[in-house]
Amino acid sequence: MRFFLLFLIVTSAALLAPTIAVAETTRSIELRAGVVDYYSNRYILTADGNVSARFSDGTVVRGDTFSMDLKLNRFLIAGNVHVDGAHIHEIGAAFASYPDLDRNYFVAEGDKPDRWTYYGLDFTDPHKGRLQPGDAFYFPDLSDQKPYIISNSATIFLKNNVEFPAGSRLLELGAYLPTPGYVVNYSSNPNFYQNAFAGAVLDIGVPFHGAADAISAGHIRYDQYRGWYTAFDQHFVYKQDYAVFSVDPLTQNQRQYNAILYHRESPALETRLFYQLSALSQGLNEPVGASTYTNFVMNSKVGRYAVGINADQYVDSLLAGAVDQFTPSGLRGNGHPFDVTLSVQSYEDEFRLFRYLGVPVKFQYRGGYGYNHDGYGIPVAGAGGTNIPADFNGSVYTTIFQTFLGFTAYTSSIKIAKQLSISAKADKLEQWYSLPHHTITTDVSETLARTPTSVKLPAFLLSYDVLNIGDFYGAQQRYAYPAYPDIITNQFGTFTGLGAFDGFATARTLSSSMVYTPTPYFALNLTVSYANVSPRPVPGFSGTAPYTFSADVRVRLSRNVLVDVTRSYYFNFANNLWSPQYGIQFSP
Amino acid sequence: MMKSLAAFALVLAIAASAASAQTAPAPIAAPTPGPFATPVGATTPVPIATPIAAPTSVLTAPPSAPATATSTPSFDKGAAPPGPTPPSNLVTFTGQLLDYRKNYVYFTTGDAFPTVDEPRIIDAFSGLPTTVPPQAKMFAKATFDPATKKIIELAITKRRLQTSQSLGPATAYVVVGSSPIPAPEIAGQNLTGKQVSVVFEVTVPPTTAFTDNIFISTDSSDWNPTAIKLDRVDAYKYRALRYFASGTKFAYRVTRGSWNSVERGEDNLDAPPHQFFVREVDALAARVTVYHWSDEHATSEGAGPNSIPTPYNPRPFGGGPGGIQVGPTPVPTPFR
Repeated sequence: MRFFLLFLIVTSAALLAPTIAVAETTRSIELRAGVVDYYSNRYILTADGNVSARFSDGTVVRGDTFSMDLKLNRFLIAGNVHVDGAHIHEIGAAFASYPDLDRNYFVAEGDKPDRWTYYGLDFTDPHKGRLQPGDAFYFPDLSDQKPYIISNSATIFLKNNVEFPAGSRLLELGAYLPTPGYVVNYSSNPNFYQNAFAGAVLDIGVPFHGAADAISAGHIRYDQYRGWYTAFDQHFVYKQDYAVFSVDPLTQNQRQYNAILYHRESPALETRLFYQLSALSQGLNEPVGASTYTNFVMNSKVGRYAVGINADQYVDSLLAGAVDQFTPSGLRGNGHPFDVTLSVQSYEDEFRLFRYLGVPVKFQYRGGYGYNHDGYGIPVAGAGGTNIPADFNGSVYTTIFQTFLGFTAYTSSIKIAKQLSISAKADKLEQWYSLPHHTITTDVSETLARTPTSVKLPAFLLSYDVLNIGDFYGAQQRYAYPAYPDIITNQFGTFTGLGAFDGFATARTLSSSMVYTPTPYFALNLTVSYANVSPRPVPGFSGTAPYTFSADVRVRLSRNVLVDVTRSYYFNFANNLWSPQYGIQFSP
Repeated sequence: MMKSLAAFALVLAIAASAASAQTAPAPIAAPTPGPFATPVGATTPVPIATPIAAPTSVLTAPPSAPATATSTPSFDKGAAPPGPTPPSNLVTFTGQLLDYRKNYVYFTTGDAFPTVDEPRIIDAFSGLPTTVPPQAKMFAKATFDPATKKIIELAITKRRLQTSQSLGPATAYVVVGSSPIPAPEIAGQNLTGKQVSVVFEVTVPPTTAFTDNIFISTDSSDWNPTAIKLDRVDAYKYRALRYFASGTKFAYRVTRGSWNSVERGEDNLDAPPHQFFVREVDALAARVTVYHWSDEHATSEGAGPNSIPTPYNPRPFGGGPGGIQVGPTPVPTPFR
């Protein structure tokens, strides 16, 4: 009975107790002022003149000036400060907020100046006299710096992005240009940057609309095939999940409509769906060509194994009446290939015996099962591979199963002398197919490294790699790999040696590099490699350049500009001396 | 989110109608990226607990210090008349202003000092009275009258002044309404923003090709996947050195140059970014082990996909020599 009464008392007290304000912090700030400046190289936002900052709970803080360090996630409003909200109407000299600490610091006017601390957005208790950070009210020193964006308002989604309205001016080439709106994304969540765009030489993103969990961006892009074109992508991000929808190019008739959907089901399970529709159409007219590709991936952790399912579905033509022939890229006009692979990869493990011998050897293994299907016939090797449908020795395969096993063993870097270490690794993968053949790939390499403890001294590497691949068809070997002409003459010359190729190849590569980074402002990386390949390479047809020399120089010109120049020399393979392009990158 | 969806639909419609025009847009230079080298928190280090100054009886200037009368030139109409220049041995404090209201001057230290009813407001460089009112962000040198414990002169300027390192004797003039109460949440290390060398050292999986480039991508570089290039220093390790100000905080991930080839955990699942905080030390190391790349597959041979140069796989190295298709049409690869 006593317990029942006690229960009644406690329950009643709980129900009758006044609601305690939750000390949550603001999620966004709507900022208005005479002028709002954004300094991109410091991630600092300032505002001056009749500043008004409205928090997500409706509290409004007005003052003469505002500054916010976006990365540190703290802001300050100073000068004739008025704080007005549901539970507060105060006047003071300054209001500083540290959302990460869940604290707002206020220099109150009151009868006598005082320092008050509010917990989050709970403005009912000022916590007078509580110590405050020594630099809570400091202004950033922005002397001699030009703002990147000038506006008169901004919406700040804390720890995420800042949206500037239409008419905001952006500093480009020394002039401030009006924009249709601009979003500065400073989120620490990299999923805002996921995209499905094809590679381009140049991509200029113009994010023009944002929210706490979304960004819309236009892109101006250039590549050597399409020239200049525009693209668009829309990002949605929630914790580790994300969705990206894009059109690339946007302003050309051959477009790709992409979607990426990623969902983290649990800490041990993730799914990712990628869908791409390629369509050739004039505006929104009926496409004259369309195909799709869908990829679904599910990864999971099971004990000390990484288990994955990977499925691909291709529809080579969505249009009726397509001509069933091979496209230049080797796809069937009417192909609908589907494949799914279940794979299991072990975590890294170690042969303990070798540790006792002083040579730690680690290993991983993997295996899996695959299924391939195409009702129009799966592409196969051999002379019948060019038929429609493709056949192998007269048989059309619409379904092929495969099983694979792989094993990797590798040593740690073993110190053999002062600053000198050696390591070795070997990988073997064997795949068996229901179309009777199997492939064996073996890769073995050794690396010798001289790594000074001081980064100011150059490091040297020497690596020798042997890669073998064999495609075993048994008695059908020559059917699968008919002899190529032994002599090939093309614009690069006359070459021999392909006649012996019957599905087995070996590449032996000797590579050496030197890395010299005396300071963070300069780096020189030189790499020279020699590849001895069997069958011998034929320029313009197959194989790689036997000799390659690559240089990479990085020089920091200023605090904000790093120039990275890369180029390769091919020793006249395929009439190429230097690689066609310089790789030049400017980065912070 | 609805606005974003609407924007997406609108852009799609515009794109469709614009496509037939096929006009090449004028190039616009890339937006200025945020520099990675910028120390986040270099000028505003993480919070340091500063006790609220309690009034003390420390005085450095004699109460009876004589005022030195000086003649001043004419001043703007409406400005306060020139008063006597305070003697040089009075207590002063120089800092940046938060506000000046109701006979109190507030500095960015958070401290408030009372003023006499009509303090002398002068330009800090000319020494002449000024009509410009003291405002937030201005720098000011306050001179105190030890007798009244109030500011009698305020020399202001919009130019940066060398500020006082501490309140010093001015502590005695601070006005504060409440006694200080500890705030454990702000007690922390004193960070000065000094340059700290940080070595990034990344151990890559053994399947990584010898010639692969490895990069660090950070939130401070807008997640540019090629922000910091690392150099290979042995069979498995890549390295780069950068300087950061103490107090800098950033998130980073390891990539092979794009977001399609980003590091994954040992369980082959997408891992959250690594967090790094630059402490007040001389040197730090950021060490990461990469177990998988997002573009690797269990059926890829160790050296990476398409690396065997044979007619069976006639385009082993895209973009380089040998990638041009001349001669007999290659047999399609059996399985994609």
